[in-house]
Amino acid sequence: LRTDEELIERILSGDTRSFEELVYRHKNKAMTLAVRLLKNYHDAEEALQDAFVRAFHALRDFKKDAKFSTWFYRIVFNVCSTKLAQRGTSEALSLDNDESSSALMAIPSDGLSPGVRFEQADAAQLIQNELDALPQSYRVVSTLFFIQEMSYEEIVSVTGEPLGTVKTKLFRARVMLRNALAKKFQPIETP
Amino acid sequence: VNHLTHQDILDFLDGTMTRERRAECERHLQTCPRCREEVALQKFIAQSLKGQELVRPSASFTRSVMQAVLAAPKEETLWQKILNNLGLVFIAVVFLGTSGIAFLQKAPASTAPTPTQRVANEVLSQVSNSVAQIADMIGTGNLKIFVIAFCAVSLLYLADKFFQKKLTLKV
Repeated sequence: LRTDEELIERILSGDTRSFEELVYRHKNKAMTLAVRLLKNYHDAEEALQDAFVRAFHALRDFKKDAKFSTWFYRIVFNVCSTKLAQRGTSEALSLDNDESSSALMAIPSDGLSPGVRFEQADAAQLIQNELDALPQSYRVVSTLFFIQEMSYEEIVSVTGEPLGTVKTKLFRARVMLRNALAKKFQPIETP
Repeated sequence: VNHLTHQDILDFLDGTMTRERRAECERHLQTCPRCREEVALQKFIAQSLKGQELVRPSASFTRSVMQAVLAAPKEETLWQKILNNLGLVFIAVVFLGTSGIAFLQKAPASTAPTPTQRVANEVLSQVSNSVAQIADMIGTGNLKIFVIAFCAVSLLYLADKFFQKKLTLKV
């Protein structure tokens, strides 16, 4: 199995068909990111196609010391941001739409008790719904961290945000998800 | 009891805390069911999100991308750009060349020409001779027509490049 870098070498030397393998390899994870960003399947697919075409034509600019996926997600991120900006400012991918988060910093005293139990399937669904309901920029970093399994540094490369901001957003997103779960699944009293 | 903070729990799970702090957290977790529950909860959130089913694009997606990739014009290199704009380059060379020679050739009558001006004069006389020969061959009238036609085509070409669309002649 060829690595991404080997495929890129082949593409640059004229083997355009090797790009098909790259598309096949990255399309699902990239599509998941695009859908999370745009919240619309059709728009996400359109944006992703655009991103792949841009990536193909910019392959010569790809620096080999970075991972292709990180470089490519940056393109997906930019294409989706442009699409969101075209839709209107309210939806634009503002990366500073922080909420006042003092309320979510503290673990609620009526949070999960040692006896808490919940149906895992319901909880997993709830977490997905809550992820979709997160503010745009929190959703982006959460998707990149959990689904794309990127490190903080890679997320910084994709979003262009400072490391501290990325860490803060991810922290807040995780606390929000935790609070949503705790609220939904109240503790079951232990006898 | 000093419970672990959210930050402690997430750092503990991400492995981003110092060895000493980690040891402290582990000791606390051994005796605190509430914090253990919090760790389990954050672990569950991470696992749920990591285990999430990926969204797949439509079945024809890869084919569409490849079609778009192959159909889109390739990025031009500098030489390709020059070759594709050969007309523009030619006009620029003619314009700059004649203006340059005319500028260099201009010299006060009292002073001797500089070496650059001598070269310019030489080039100009060569060009004049060539033009005279062409005029002899095709006739002065035809040469005028040729020059006018060349200027007209050049102007149309420049206008075409400027507006970035093909001009069509309406008959």
